[in-house]
This record gives sequence, structure tokens and C-alpha cells, in this order.
Amino acid sequence: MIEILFILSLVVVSALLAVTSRNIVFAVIALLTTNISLGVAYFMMGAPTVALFQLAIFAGAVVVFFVITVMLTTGGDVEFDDDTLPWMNKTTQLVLAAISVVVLLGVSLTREIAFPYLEYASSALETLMFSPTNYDDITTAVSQFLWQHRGFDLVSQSFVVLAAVICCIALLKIRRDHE
Amino acid sequence: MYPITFFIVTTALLFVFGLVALTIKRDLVRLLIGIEILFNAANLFFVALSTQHVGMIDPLPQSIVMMALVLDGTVIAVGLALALNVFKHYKTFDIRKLRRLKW
Repeated sequence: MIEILFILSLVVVSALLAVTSRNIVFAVIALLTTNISLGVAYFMMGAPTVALFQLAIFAGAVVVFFVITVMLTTGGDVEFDDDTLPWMNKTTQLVLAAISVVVLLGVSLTREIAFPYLEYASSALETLMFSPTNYDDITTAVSQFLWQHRGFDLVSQSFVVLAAVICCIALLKIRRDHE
Repeated sequence: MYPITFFIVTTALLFVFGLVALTIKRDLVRLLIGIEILFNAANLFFVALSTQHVGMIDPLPQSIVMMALVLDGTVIAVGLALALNVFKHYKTFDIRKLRRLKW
């Protein structure tokens, strides 16, 4: 239990740094830390497939996109120095991070919040649940579930990704007539 | 199985950070960082709810979160391409300056 609290504290603190950091490069590095620690948290919670996707897409591709955007523009210059929070310095960041961790640990260890997660789940959904013995069982079951019950979603999702790729190409295309 | 309280508090904090970034920040890239933190909050809560059965795993939320992760990645990619295009045209990421510009 201590390890998941440590990982969640890391998630919260790095997300706070990603939001409050004045330098955009530090913000992207903090975002990378958030995504990696969230992937580790997913793995510990018993969702290894989601953890792999989180590490590959959010901690990999998306952070690379952010870094490329910063590199192609004026990364580290005045444009990226954030002045919306003038009182935000390292001391304030440290205090805010400490408050966040204290709130997380305090509420988590002293309160027990009930969530009626099963009340809206139908009995048909409950029959899909299974008891895994190792991570391979979970990966196989989630993959089979995707193909058997969410095949149409997967196919339509591939069209959405294709549309996004076409959109990115159209946006980043060099127009000769404007130059 | 970890208690759901951990994840509710973490999700709430991540949600607040994402909303603060969306409401206060003026930089387009920082707005996208805030959107990604909001995505992370929603996905974490979804996965946390799927692992609340003792010794059991629910594959439905995990598969939905996997698809949501891919779509979130495309949303961020298109947003960053838009931001690059905006910077190429107007040489700024400041949304207050961009708001005054007319076509």
C-alpha cells in the first residue's frame, strides 16, 4: 500500500510541476514523469495492457510531439516564459507540492470513501469479469474482449486515427503560394 | 486491490490542476498540457473502478481506456499541429494576442 501511495504522490507532484513550471521544457519533463508514474500505477493496479499503452502513447509519442513542438518554435525563449502566475517561484511550488501530498496522504489514510460502482453495472457486465492468475491472463482476456465485443469500435477508431493523420499532414503542409 | 479513496483523491487533484491550467494559462502548449492532465485523471479513475472487485478483473473499462488513450494521443497530436501552424503564421502562442487577430 505504501508503494502505490508513493507512486500516486509522484503523479500529483509532477502534474503540479507541469502546470506551474515557468520553463516549458521543465513542464514537458514533469509531464513525462506524470505519464511514466501513471503507467507504473496502472501496472500495479492490475492493468498491464493499459500500462503499456500509457507508456507507449502518452509517455512516448505525445511527449515526443511536445518536445518537437518546443524545438520547432522558440523553445526556452521569452515566448515560453510564463508570466500568468508572477508569484509562482520554486518556494511556492514546493509549498503547493507539499500541500498536495499532505491532502493526498491525509484523506487517503484517514477517510474511506464508498463509491457505488457496482450499482449501475448490469449483471451481464459482471459475468464478463474473471479471476486472473498472472499478467498474461489479463492481457489475453482484454485483447479477446476488444476483438469480440468492441470490434466495431476498434475499426471506427482506426478511421479516426487516419483522419487525425490526414489532418496533421494538411496542417503542417508547406504552402508554396504563401511563401 | 487498493482502496478507491487513493484514486478518488488523486483524480480530484489532477482534475483541479488540469482545470487551473486551462483557466489561467495563456500559452497554447500549456493548455494542451492541461488537457492531457485532465485525460489522465479520467483514465485513472476509470481503471481504478475496474480493479475494485476482490481477485477479479473487469476487461470492459480496461479496453475502453485503451481506446481512449489512443484517441487522446490523436487529440493532442492534432492540437500540437494546430499550435505549430498558429505559431508559423502569427509568431506567438499567446491566446490573448491570437484572440485579437482577425482573418
